[in-house]
Amino acid sequence: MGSTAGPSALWYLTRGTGTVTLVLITVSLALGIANVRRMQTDSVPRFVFDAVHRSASLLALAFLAMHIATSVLDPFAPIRLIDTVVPFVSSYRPVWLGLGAVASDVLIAVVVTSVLRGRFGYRAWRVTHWLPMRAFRSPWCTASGPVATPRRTGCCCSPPAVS
Amino acid sequence: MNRSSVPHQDSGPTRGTPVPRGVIAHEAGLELIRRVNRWLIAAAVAAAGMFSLLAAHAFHGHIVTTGGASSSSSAASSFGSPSGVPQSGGGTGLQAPAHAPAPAPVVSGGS
Repeated sequence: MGSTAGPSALWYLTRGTGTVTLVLITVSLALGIANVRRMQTDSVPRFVFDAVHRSASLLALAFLAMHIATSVLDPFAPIRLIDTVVPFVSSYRPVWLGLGAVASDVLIAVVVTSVLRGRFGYRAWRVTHWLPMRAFRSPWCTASGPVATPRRTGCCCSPPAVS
Repeated sequence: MNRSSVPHQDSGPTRGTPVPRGVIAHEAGLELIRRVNRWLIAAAVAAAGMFSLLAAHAFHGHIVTTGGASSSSSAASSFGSPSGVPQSGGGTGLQAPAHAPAPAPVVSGGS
C-alpha cells in the first residue's frame, strides 16, 4: 500500500534557486555592460564594477549548480543529469529544459574561458564572452516557459515582428 | 637589548607624509567590493529562500508517492487548494465517511 508524503521541498527550492540565478545573471550582464562602457563615479571606481561583475557571475554559477542539483534530485520530474547538459533530449518539457541547458552550457563556457583566459587568448575569450549577449534570451524563456507560452504573451522566444 | 636606543627610521607613508589620493580611493574601492560581495551573497541566499516560500504558497506543488502498490496514485497528483490544505479527491487520500456507522443490531437468543 502506498503512502503519500508532503510536497517535496526540492520542488520549491528549484524554483527559488532558478529565479535567483536569473536575477544574478541579469545583474552580472548589467555590470559587464557598465564596465565595457567605462562607467565610474567619484565614489565607485571602474575596477569595482569589474570585481562585482565577476563575483555576481560566480555566485550565479553556484546557484545554477544548486538549481540543477535540486531539479535532478526531485523525484517528481524525470530529469536526468545528461538532460541538463545536452539540450533537447529530455522527455520532460524538452523545449524549455533544452533552452535552460543551452544557457547553462554558455555560462559554464564563459566562466571556464574567463578563468583560463591566459591559455585561450584574448580573442577566443572575447568571442566566448559575448555569447551570453546572444544566449541571454534562453534563461528568460526557460523561466517564463511553463507559465506563459510565446504565443500567448509574446515572449522573447517568439520571432521578431518584421515591419 | 634596549629598544629605545635603536634609532627610528621612517620608511613609506607615515604621519608626516600625506597619503596619495589614488591610494585612498583604491583602498576605499577594495573595501566597497568586500562589502558589496557580502551583501550580494546574503541577499541571494535570502532571495532564494523567499522565492521558494513564495512558490510554495503561490503554485500548486505535488505529492510524492512513496512505495505503493496502487498504480492510480502516481506522483503527478497536485497538492491541495490555494489555501494550502491538501485535497483528498482523486482517490489518493482518505475520505471521511458521509454518515457515522450505525450500531449493529443486537439479536438475542432464539433457538
